[in-house]
Amino acid sequence: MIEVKELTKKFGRKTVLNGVSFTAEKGQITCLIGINGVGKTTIMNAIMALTPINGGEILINGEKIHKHSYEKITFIPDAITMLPQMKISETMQFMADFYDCWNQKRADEILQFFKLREDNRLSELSKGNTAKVNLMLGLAMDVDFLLMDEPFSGIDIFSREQIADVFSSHLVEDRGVLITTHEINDIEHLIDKAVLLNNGIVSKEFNTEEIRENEGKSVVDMMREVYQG
Amino acid sequence: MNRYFKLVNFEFNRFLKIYLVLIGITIISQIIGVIVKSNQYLNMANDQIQGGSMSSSEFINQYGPISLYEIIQTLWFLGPIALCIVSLIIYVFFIWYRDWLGKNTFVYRLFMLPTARINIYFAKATTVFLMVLGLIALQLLLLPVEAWILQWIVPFDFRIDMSIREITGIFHYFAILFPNTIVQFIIHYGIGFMAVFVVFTAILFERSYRWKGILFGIIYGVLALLLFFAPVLLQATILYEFFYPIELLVLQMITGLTVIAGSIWMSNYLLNKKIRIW
Amino acid sequence: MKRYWKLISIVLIIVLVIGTFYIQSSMAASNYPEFVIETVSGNQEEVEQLSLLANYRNGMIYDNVTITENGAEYVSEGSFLEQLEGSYANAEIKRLQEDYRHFMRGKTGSPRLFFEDQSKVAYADLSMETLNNRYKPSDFSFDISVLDKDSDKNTSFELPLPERESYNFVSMEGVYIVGGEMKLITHNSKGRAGSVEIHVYSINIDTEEIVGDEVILKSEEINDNSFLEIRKENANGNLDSNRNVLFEYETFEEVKINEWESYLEPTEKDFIVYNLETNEREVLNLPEEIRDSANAVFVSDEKIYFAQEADGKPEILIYDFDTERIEAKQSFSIQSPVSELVFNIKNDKLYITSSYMNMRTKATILILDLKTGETLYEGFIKMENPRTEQMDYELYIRGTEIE
Repeated sequence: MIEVKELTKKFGRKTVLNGVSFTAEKGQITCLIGINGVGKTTIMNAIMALTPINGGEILINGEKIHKHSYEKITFIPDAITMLPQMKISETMQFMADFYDCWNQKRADEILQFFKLREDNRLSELSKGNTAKVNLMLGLAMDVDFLLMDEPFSGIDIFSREQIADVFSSHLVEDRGVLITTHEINDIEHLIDKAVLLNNGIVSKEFNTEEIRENEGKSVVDMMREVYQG
Repeated sequence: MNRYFKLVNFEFNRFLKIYLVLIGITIISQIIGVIVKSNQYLNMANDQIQGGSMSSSEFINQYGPISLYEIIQTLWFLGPIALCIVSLIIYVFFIWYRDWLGKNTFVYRLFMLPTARINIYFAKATTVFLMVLGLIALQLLLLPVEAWILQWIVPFDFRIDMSIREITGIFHYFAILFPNTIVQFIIHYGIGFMAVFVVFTAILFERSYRWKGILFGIIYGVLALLLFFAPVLLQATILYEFFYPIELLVLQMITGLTVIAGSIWMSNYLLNKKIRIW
Repeated sequence: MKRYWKLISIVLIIVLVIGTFYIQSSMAASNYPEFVIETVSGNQEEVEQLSLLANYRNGMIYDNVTITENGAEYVSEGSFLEQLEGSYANAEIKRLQEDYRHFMRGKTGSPRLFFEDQSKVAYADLSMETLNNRYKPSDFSFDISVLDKDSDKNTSFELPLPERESYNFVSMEGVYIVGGEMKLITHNSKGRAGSVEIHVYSINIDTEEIVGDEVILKSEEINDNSFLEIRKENANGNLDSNRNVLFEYETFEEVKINEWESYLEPTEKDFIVYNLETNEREVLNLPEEIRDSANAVFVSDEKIYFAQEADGKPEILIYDFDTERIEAKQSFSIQSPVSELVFNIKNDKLYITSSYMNMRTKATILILDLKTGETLYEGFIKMENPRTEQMDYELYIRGTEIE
């Protein structure tokens, strides 16, 4: 379980996150929703200890993050985290070198699924294919939690469909996924839990199924209530 | 292979292309320098002697014989050395900043590796040091080759043959790069390594606090410099000539090691608690 | 492993090349030639005490070297620690630093700032303020330290120089303790350049007071184109305790060759002895030809040794304080002008060494017994196994040290 407790983050004098608390469970897809600039990426970075925080606490399976945590949790940012001059095979080699949790069989499977050739250089790939490689680098790790930042932004429609398919496949299996997006449509039917951020706080945290069954509302309905009502 | 070595190998291969270009420029320029300068000298000798204005011994008396000592002071020689030095100084900064720059943010990957982040710092420092020492070794290998080329072009009477030791000993800049004894070598490059650590720490200050960090980095650098030179400064001011040379050496070693330890500690703290990805 | 071959090879190259460079240079035959002292005649033991301090030069190669009968030791080939300790620091100061490490802390400079006898080690220097006035140092004062060897008590005090406003510059010429009283000899320049006074300041060490200030030598009114030089002649500093201080007083006249060139013509020269015990000053009564051409080599309590040239050969003249005249002359079989010789005297033995040597010029070493006039030792410096590239060397012997 990822527990974010009273997370506060300031940029200069501006408080972007003001006591954000929520949890993300293993085996669920949790979606962080918010209009741009509300600090979704900052939350991801904070969970991964990639930016200092001004207050609060973040626990992963009950522990603060440490070097071995990176074998249990990984983050797929919205840009690829490998050097442009690398071939896909080299990026996989790098991952295999440094991570014990790297699963080469799964990586090959994902490459096949996306129809990518491993001797292609990253700099030669289209935007969509780069995003797919980026996704592959995270998905092929045998981790408990997977963080994804805007996996659909700026990608063509076909790639988007392919990526969305991944979420319902065995590639995600019983892992916990924390995802941010502002384009909820592609994955609305996939997500188990939604966390709505507004003005630096969590204004709604709910189970999508419960909301649908009890109140007959969709995620988009909820968003309307928060952001427009 | 542990992750530190893998990181060193990765950083090393990342810079290898530029590094090989530097090596190539050095080799080509220096060897061309030897050939050009030797031939210029011989042409001058031929003009004077065959023009009948002087005998060969008069020529040697007046112009002096040629040796590597004259050649290494030309741009052919010092140019590539200066280029390598400048490139490596830039590299000390580049090795960090390139991970943040560009749209492929490799720094995410580095900081999400399942290893202590200080290993990244050590790996980068090690790579810089290997690059420096590699060029030093290259120059030591090149000198005998160049001495041999000189011998091959210029007849015995017109040249002075010098051993590598003599060349590195008498030319001032070379005496800094190739000190006389192994102890001095360790001291010179130890100071160099310390400087790299301090600059790395200053870079991490900047990467953690950005604009304010530049100021912190500069302050840190000044403090490190003051601490390192504290014994010498004391010796020159309030404790005038108080320490004997050997004591001064020991004190400088202590302050130097303190600066290194402080830089590593500070960097470890910054990397774990303060560093920012974007 | 295969993927690491580039990294592994550069590490190997670095270790091998740099390692070889340093191992080779520590093992390899020296680039410098070996010099030994070759005996011609006499007792070889006599030369064992002698060290020659020399500069070796061959083309662009230059180094300081110490030559003893065991061979040559070059500074640059010494270990780093040896170089750090300063291989050509004065041997007497080095000895003092070893024996009195704490007392000698912070005290540097020429041997003439130090004094040692059976019971005491003393040090005195002039401190001055140079920051306030860029053109003229001011606030001259004595920095005095005395170590009592028996009680190991270290006394330090500072005393302002009397009438210090009136001097342009003051330098320390000698430090002595005579009969429990400290005597400081200084060279004070005043007013316009060339106006010089030699002072002897007497200092009571117990009360830490200046009890006497005597001008023992003074430049008379001299005209615009003449110059005065007063030198304290005691080459070995004052560490060998000695009650006589010798000065050479020499005036020059500027002679113009043309509008741009001129040279200095000596006009007057005198040797003056100051006795630290009696505080008496005496102009030596020397025959004119000796006075004008002789160089003082050594001063002892009883005698002054002068060197001069006679018929192209050097000779030693011995002046006796009791009889107040030249008592003995000693000449020897070296064909060399006095200016190209280095003299040293210890325990009534005279050590003479040529000051220059190269492939064609031989450097001779002579040791004479001053009491009997007998030649104890004769030898020369020899270059061992000369290599062709070392043929053009030059060796300048700048001094000798005797154990």
